[in-house]
Amino acid sequence: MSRNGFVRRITLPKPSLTDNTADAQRLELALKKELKADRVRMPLRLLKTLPSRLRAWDFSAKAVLFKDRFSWVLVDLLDPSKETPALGAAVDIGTTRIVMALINLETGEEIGEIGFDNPQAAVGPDVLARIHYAGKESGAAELKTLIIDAVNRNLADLCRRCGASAADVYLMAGAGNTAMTHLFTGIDPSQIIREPYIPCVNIPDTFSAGELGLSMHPDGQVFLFPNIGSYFGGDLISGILYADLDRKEAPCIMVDVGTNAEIVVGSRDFLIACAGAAGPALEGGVSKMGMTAKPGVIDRVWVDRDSGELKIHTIDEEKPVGICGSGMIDLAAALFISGRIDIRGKFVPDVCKDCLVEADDIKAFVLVAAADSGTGAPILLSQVDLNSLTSSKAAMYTILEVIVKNTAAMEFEDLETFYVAGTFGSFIDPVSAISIGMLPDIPVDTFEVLGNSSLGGAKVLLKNPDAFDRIFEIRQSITYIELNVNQEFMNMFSGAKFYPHTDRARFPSLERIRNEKIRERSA
Amino acid sequence: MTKQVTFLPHNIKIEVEDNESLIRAALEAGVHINASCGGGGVCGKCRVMIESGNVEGGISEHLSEEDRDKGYRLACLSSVASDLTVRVPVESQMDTSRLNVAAGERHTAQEVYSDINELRQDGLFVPPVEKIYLEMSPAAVGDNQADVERIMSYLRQHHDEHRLNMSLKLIRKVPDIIREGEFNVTVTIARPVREDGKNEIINIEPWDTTDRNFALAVDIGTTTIYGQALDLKTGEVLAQHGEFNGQISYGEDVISRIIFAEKGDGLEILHQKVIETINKVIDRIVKTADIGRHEVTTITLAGNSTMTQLLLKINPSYIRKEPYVPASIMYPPFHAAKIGINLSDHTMALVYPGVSSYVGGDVIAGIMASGMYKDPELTLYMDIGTNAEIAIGHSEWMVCTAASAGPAFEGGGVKFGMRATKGAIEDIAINPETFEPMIITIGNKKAKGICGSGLITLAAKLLETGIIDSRGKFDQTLKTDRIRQTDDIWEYVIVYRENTQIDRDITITEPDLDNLIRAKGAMYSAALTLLDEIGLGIKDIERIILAGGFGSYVDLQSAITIGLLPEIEPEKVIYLGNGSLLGCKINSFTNALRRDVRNVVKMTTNFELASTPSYMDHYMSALFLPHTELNYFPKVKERLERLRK
Repeated sequence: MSRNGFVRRITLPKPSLTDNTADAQRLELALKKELKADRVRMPLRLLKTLPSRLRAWDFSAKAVLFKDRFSWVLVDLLDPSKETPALGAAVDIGTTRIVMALINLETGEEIGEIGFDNPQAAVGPDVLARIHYAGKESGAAELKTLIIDAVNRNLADLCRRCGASAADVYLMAGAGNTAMTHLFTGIDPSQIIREPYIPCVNIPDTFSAGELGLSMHPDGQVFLFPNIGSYFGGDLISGILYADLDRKEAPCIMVDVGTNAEIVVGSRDFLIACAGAAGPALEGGVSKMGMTAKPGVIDRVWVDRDSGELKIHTIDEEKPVGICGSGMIDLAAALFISGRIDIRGKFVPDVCKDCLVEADDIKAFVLVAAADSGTGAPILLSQVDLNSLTSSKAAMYTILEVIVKNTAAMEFEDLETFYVAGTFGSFIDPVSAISIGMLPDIPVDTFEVLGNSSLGGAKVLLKNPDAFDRIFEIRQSITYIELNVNQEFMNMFSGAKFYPHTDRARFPSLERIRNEKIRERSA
Repeated sequence: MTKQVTFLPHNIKIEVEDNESLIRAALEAGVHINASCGGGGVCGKCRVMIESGNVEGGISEHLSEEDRDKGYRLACLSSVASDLTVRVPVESQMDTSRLNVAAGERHTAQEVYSDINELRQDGLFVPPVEKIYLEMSPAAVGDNQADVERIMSYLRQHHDEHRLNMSLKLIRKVPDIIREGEFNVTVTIARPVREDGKNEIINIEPWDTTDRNFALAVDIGTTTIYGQALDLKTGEVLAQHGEFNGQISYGEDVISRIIFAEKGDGLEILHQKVIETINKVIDRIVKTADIGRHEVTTITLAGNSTMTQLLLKINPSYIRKEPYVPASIMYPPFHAAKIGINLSDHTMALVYPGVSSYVGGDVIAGIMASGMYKDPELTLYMDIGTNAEIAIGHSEWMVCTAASAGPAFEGGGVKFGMRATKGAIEDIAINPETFEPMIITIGNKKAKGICGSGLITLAAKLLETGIIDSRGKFDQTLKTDRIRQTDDIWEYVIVYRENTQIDRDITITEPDLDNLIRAKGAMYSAALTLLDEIGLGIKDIERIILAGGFGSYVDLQSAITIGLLPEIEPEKVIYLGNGSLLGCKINSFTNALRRDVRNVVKMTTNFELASTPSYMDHYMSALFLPHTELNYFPKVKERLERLRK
C-alpha cells in the first residue's frame, strides 16, 4: 500500500553522539523528504510529547498530516504498530440536508455515509430567515451550536456504525454555500443580504476542530471550501473539483440546479461562473416547482405510445399525492410533444379535451383524477403553475446562453460534457428538459449526472492532498460574472419563454424525440 | 561629563563620571583605602581629605565636627561633584605602588542595533509583530469584497503584505469592528521567520492604535528571570525587572531540575513555577511602564534548552542522557496566553531557537545581540554561568560547545557565595603588605557574601598578593590573622562579623577556591578544545565577548590573572552583560533578525565535549592559576613575578 494521502508512515534515523540533531528537526527532515516539500509546520503541542513518543516507537511513526494555504501541517503522530485507522469526514453542508462520509485517510477507502436534516431549519427553512436570525444577539453562535451538535451526534453514530470512534477522525472537509459556511462557523453573515451584499470571509482556510466545538480528535483540523462571493460558495468549488472541470482539455459545463441555478463553464484553460440568484426571472427558483420527493410523489411522466395518454410513475409506486420538480419537467415535455400545450405554453383545449378543467377562470390540466389520487383530490397543473415553470425553464436556458454564448463565446455544441450537479438535477431527464427548451439540444450522452458533487469534492480532498492546492487554483482562476438583468437578457428571456424557443432551429432533435416518444398514429 | 580625581600622596590621576562614588574611583585607580563595610559608611575607616574641589555627601557621625571642617569625608559616602584633589591619610592609605599595575579598563560591548534609528536607516525596523493602520473605502455596490478579504487585499495593495491569514476567532469579530471604525482599522500582524511563511493577522481594532504597540523581552535564566518592557514606536526600554526563577527551590542547576522534572508531576511543577515568575516580572514591568496587557503584541523569550523545554512543558529528560538530544531547537510562535502567560489572547510569544541540548536560545540570543555573526573578526563568545557556553566564529562559520562550570560563577558552591544582589561583595583590593582588604558591595550595604565577579577579583588578588599559590592553597606562613584554619579548613577572612549583615565572618576557603578553579578550568579548556578541533589557537582570537549573569562587570585583568580568560589586550574584550535579554530586546524590534537567527543556527556546528577526547587533558591542565602552561599567560607570569619580588 503506497498511497500518497494524508497519513504517511515514516522512519527516522536514530540519534547518536555524531548526530544528535534535536527530535523535532530530525522529524521535520524525515517529513520533508517523505512529502517532497520544503516546509512542514509542526505545532507546539506535538513537540511537547515528541521526545517520549519517538523513543517509545523506536523512531518510527504514522504521521497524520494536513495542509493550509501556506504549508503542510503535522496534525498528530500515531503509534505505527497500532492498526486503528486515522479517519477523515467529508461533509456536504446543505441548507436543508447535511450528508457526511467517512474515509480511511491511509487507504482512501470510503467506509460509511450518513445524511440528516440541517437542524437550523428549526430557526428558518430558508437561508434568508437564518441570516436574519444570525444578526441578532448571539444568533450566529446559536445557529452554529445547532449544526455543530447535530454534526457531532451524527458523526459519532456514523463512526459507531463503522466500528470506529469519533476520536479517530482527524480531518474534516466541508463544503457549503457562502451563507452556510458562515453559519457553520458562527460568523455573522448579516451583510450577505444587505446591500452591497458582503460576506464576512471568503477563505476561512484550515482551523482546529476545537475552535468550532467539533467532537472529533481534539487536535483535528477542519477545512471549509472557500467561497467566491455571496452567491457562489464552496459547494460549487467542491463540485468543480469533483467533476475535474479544471483539468478538462475541451470545455465542459457544470450546472447545479439547487435553490439557485449555479453554472460554471470552462476547462483547464479558463473557468467562468455565474449564479442565477439575481433577477426576477428566477425568483421562485427552478426547484420550487412541485414538492419534495417522498412516497406517492409523481417522479416520471410520459406519453403512452399506443393510447397517447399521459402515464405516471410514483415513488414507491404508491397512490399519487403530488408531483416533484423532475416530474414536472417530464409533464411539461409530455404535454408539449403531445400537442397538449402550444409553443406559447398555453393549453390546447382541442387536444386536452376532458382533461382540461376551469376554475376561477383559470384553466387546469387534470393529471390524476380524484378517484385515482392518494389525497382524494385531483392532481392538477394550472396555467399559473405552467407559466411559472415556463419562466423557470426560460431563465435556465437564458442563463446558459448568456454564459456559454455571450460570455465564453462558444456554441453549446462545443461543450464536451454537460455535468448536472445537485440532488434535484440528478433526477431530471435530459430528453424532457431538451424538449421543453430548458437545456440546449446537444447529444444526450453529453449529459452526465454528478450526484452530490459538493460531498464528492470534499471526499476528493481527503483522499488526495494535491487537491488542496487545486482548490485555491480553481478559486483563483474563476471569472465570476454578475448576471445583469438588462434589456438584452430580457430579450433573450422572452425568446426562451416559448416551447422550446422562438428560434426552433436551435432544437433540431425535437422531431426525432417526438417520433421516438410518440408512435405516429397512422389513422 | 567626566571629572578628574587626583589622589595624593602618590599623585595618581583618574577620569571618572560625574557623581561617581569616591571609593569606586579609588578602587579603579588602584588607590587603596581601608574599607571593610562594603561602602555603606558603617565602619568609618575610609576617611580621606578633600584638598580641592567638591564632593556630594561624605558626612558621617564617624567624623568629628573638627574633622569635617578640615575637609575630611568618608570616601564611600562621597560622590564626585567636580575635579578633585584627594589626600589619602597615612592611617588609611597604604603603599599602592605595587598594586598600581595596569588596572585594566573595562570595556562594554555595543549591542548591535542598540539604536532604533540605525535600524530605521537600514530599513530593518520591522518588528515581528507590527501594527498597521488602514483607511479603507467602505463597501459599496460594485466593490463588495468580503470584509476579511477587503482587509487583506488592502494590505496587499497598499502595504505590500502577502500570505495573510486570520483565525476563525478573529474572523467572527471582523464585521462589527470594521463597521465600528467605519472601515478604518488597525491590524496587528505577526510575521513569519521565513519570507514564504504566513503573516498572521492576530488582532483588529477600530481606528488608529498604532501609537500603542509594546513588546516584552524576557531572559529565562536558570537563576534569575529578567524582563523588559519596550516601546515599539520609539524603541525605548520603558521598564525592567528581575526575579529569582521560582524553580530554584527544586534544584540549583539544570541537571537537578531535569531530574526533578522526571519524577511524578515534577515537570508540571517546574513549568508552573517558571510561568509564575514570568508573570510576576510582567506584572511589575507593565505597571511601571504604564501599558495595558492588550497593548503588548509580542513577548520574546530566551533560555537555555532546559529552561525552554520547562517553559513549554516538554520533558527535558533526554537533554541529560546520551546522546543529549533536545526536543527541538526551533519552536513555532504561539499565543502567550496558551501556556499561562498573563497577557492578552492575541499576544504572540516568540522563543529563541538554540543549537543543541547545552547551547540554547540564551546563547544564540547573546550571539545575535553581540553581532559577531555579522563581523569578519574571529570572535570568542563566552557566556559565563553555571553552564559555560562558548562559541567561536565569525560571519562565515561558527562552532559552539558547552561545559558544566558548576555554580561558582553565580555564587554557588562557595561558602559565602551569593547572587549578585545587594550586599554582595562585587569588587575588592588587598593590600600586599598588610593583606588587609578593601571591599565594595552592591548597593553599598554591609556585606552578606560574595558574588561571582567579586569571587574572580578576590581570587586574582589573593594570587597577586601571594596569599594563595597557583594551586589555590593558602600560604600559611604569612603574618596575618586573616589567614586561619577553621575546622581543618584553611580560609581567608574577607570581612569580620561586626561589619557584615550576617553576624559571621565572611571568608573564602580552600574548597571554595577549588570550585572556582574547576569552574574557570572548564571554561578555559572548553574554549581551547573548540579551537583545537577547528585547528586554531588562542592567538588567532581577535576579540572576546563576555556575557553572563555577573551582577556587575567582571574585572578583565582578574579574569585573565586566574586563567578564566585567555591573555588578550583588554581593549579586545567586550562585556555584553545579559546577552540573552539583549537578544530578546533586539528581536522585538526587527524581524530580519529572526531570519539571521535561522541562518546562524544552521551555520553553527555543535561539539559535545563528552565525545571530544582532548577535552579532559585540556581541563586537567587548566586546574591551576592561571594555568600549568604559563606560556599561555606571559604577561600574567611576568606581573606575578614582579609583584612577588
